[in-house]
Amino acid sequence: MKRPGLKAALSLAVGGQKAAPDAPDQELTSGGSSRAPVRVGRRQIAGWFAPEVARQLHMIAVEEDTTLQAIMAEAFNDVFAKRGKPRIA
Amino acid sequence: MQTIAIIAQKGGVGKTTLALHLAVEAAGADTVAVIDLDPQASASGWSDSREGEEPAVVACPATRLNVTLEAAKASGARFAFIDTAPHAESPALAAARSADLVVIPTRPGILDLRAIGASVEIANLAKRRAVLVVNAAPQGGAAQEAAEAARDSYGIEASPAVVRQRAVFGHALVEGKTAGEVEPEGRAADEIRELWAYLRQRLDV
Repeated sequence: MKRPGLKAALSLAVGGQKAAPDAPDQELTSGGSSRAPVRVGRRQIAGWFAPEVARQLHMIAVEEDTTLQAIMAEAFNDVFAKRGKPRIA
Repeated sequence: MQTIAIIAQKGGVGKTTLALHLAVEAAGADTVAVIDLDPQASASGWSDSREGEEPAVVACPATRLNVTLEAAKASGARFAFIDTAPHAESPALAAARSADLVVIPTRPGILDLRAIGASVEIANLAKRRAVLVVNAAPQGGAAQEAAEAARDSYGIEASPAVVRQRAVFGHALVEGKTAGEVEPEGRAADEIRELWAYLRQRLDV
């Protein structure tokens, strides 16, 4: 059952190369949609707040050299933890 | 390809030990990939110290899980095992979503049993079937009691195949091998064989 190609194919996929030696490229973009790969299988969560809220969040992200996405994930995880839910964000 | 995710939010319950032993057991008959989501990359380190390329092990960030599983499938893998890190619930959810079956290892102690709640909840969120595997169990009835407690508390099915506390599991991994490769006639080899037979049955293969 030796298949010397498997390990090499896995390493290529992890490194951001082709998904597999014979996989068509369009498979990577989810049926031809223009959605960025990082958003595939994800859903946007939005809300309406005062401009100061947005500014403060952005300032935290800048000060900590991280992203708004990461700050929001941290906030959601804190909400989950407070309610005894898994921190899955 | 059938994918088995091994998740537990508690450390030291034997996720990597079970992933590697099951992968080698499955690789006796089929092509097998191990996707190592744990940043500590213990499974990948084991593979580096191992002679031969079976099973194929790759360290992978959770963001690359889907394309890596696609690559495994396209390259002919029959089974993929996803090893995960403890205290990392977002990658555990990603692993569960990608899986046909979620395996939740636990030790039979009461504190370990309490910790499986989060893992069961993650499997439920992903809408995946999960089974509990009692690992590193001492001789005696503790494993059976643990299985019953888990079923009563979390409604999760427990594998009737239990893996006992045996030094050979650890010794073998240090050498880049598995317990079954070090002691082919040993009880550890039997336990892993029985566990894999049970999991295959749960996968309907």
